[in-house]
Amino acid sequence: MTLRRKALTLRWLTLLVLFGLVEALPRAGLVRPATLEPASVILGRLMEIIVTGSIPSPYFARTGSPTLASHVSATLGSILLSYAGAVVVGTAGGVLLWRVPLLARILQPYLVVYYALPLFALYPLFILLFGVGFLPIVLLGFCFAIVVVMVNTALGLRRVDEEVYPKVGRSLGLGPAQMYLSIYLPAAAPYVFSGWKLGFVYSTISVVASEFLISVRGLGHVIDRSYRNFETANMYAAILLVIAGVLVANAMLTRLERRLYRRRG
Amino acid sequence: MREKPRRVRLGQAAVLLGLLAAWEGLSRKAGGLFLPGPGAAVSTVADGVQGGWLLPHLATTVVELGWAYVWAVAIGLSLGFGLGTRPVLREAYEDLLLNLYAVPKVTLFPLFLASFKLGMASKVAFGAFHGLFPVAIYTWTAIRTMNPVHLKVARSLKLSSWETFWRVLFPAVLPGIVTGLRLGFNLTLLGVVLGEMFASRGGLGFLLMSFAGAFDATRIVAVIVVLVVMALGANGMLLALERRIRRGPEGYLQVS
Repeated sequence: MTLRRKALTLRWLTLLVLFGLVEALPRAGLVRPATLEPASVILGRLMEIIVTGSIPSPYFARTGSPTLASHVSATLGSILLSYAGAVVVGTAGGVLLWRVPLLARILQPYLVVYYALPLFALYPLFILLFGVGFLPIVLLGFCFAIVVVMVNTALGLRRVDEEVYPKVGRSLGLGPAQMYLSIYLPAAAPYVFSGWKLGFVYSTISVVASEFLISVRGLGHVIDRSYRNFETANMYAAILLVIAGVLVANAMLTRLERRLYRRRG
Repeated sequence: MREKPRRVRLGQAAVLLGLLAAWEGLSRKAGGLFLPGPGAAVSTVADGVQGGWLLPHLATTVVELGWAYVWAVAIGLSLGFGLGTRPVLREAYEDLLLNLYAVPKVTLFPLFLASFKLGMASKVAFGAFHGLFPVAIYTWTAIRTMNPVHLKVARSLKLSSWETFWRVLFPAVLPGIVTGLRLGFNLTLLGVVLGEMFASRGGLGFLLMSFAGAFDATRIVAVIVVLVVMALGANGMLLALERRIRRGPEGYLQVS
């Protein structure tokens, strides 16, 4: 058996064993149903939620937000808004860092420790300042994603500077606008995109975590409320939905990233 | 990159002063009750130390963080060395682990609560789970990208497998690993605080959430200051360690 075949077998075997454990432990009564429902029940509940478009929960029926769409749209909206802001401002900031090396050197120690700070500690403060709702969630998502976009943009442009492309452009006598459009944009695109991809992951993590802590809507909110109301199947169904969504989005972004790198050669 | 260190220093001091001034300005504009300024924050920290509402929770967080980090490093290094030295394991599990790393891990916190109960153990386990990924990823990447000549030399010198590990493999991958150790610490702290914020009866995260419930912005800011000092202090030490081991000059915008 080749290494690849062996590895694939091992991976699927592991996943199968995990699935089997999640199925068997609750069925055998070794884990209480308040802790874990069998895998088949969770998957069934997830299908039911997707097909009917509503969460079968007395709690969400009472609070008037039983539909899946209301939570998915809240989460997606917060992610997209914070992510768009981080991409626009972060990319511009990255270009600025790259254009002004002194600024990059001044900010370096601050950028190094930025992600060392437990940024979620700001969330309760944001709640007091802006109220419970979209604004604090979007703001925190923005703060969480912007620096990774900025740093990767500057690093990418800097890497292009060390390559041959700008020299070619200059020897062709390109103006500043043409240098940006025909040299830096295509040459730095894959590096910058790697930062954009990380930014998406970061803003998703932040939005879901904020919803999880204090919120009125969103998939993180569904997980939190289902946990507190002992609706175990709903909780795991929502967790699965979030994980599946992130994995699909991540796979799409990775494919796009690979294509950019390949086109560049 | 060595010219004008003075201008850089001055600029860095100016940024710090600018941040503090902006904080003070925002606080004046919003009103000190909604957003206390730096002065109020520091005096509230002092009040917390004297009044006794801060230190026990700080101790809880430090203990949880310590144990979580020990576990994160132990599991992260084992995973890293396992996947780094065995191609089959890496082929089988690398993608799975990288994907798990990108998932918002908070969503899995209820699982930890269910398996470890409400006390410290669930926060320790969750913090470790949060922090082990960078340690593991940086370790296996360092092993994979290490110069294979080192291992060939070890083989031709007929070193035992223990000697090969201790004298060749370990020193060669150490620079990569220390970066992972620092990033792992950051994520462990984040995980512990998140866990405390979601469900606990102690710790700085718990304080944050209960002060949020009481609309006490002053104490929230004081707790944030404590957390920031903690994070910066630990990071300063880990960064110094990293620089000593790496020794080479610092790269452009090298943040990880």
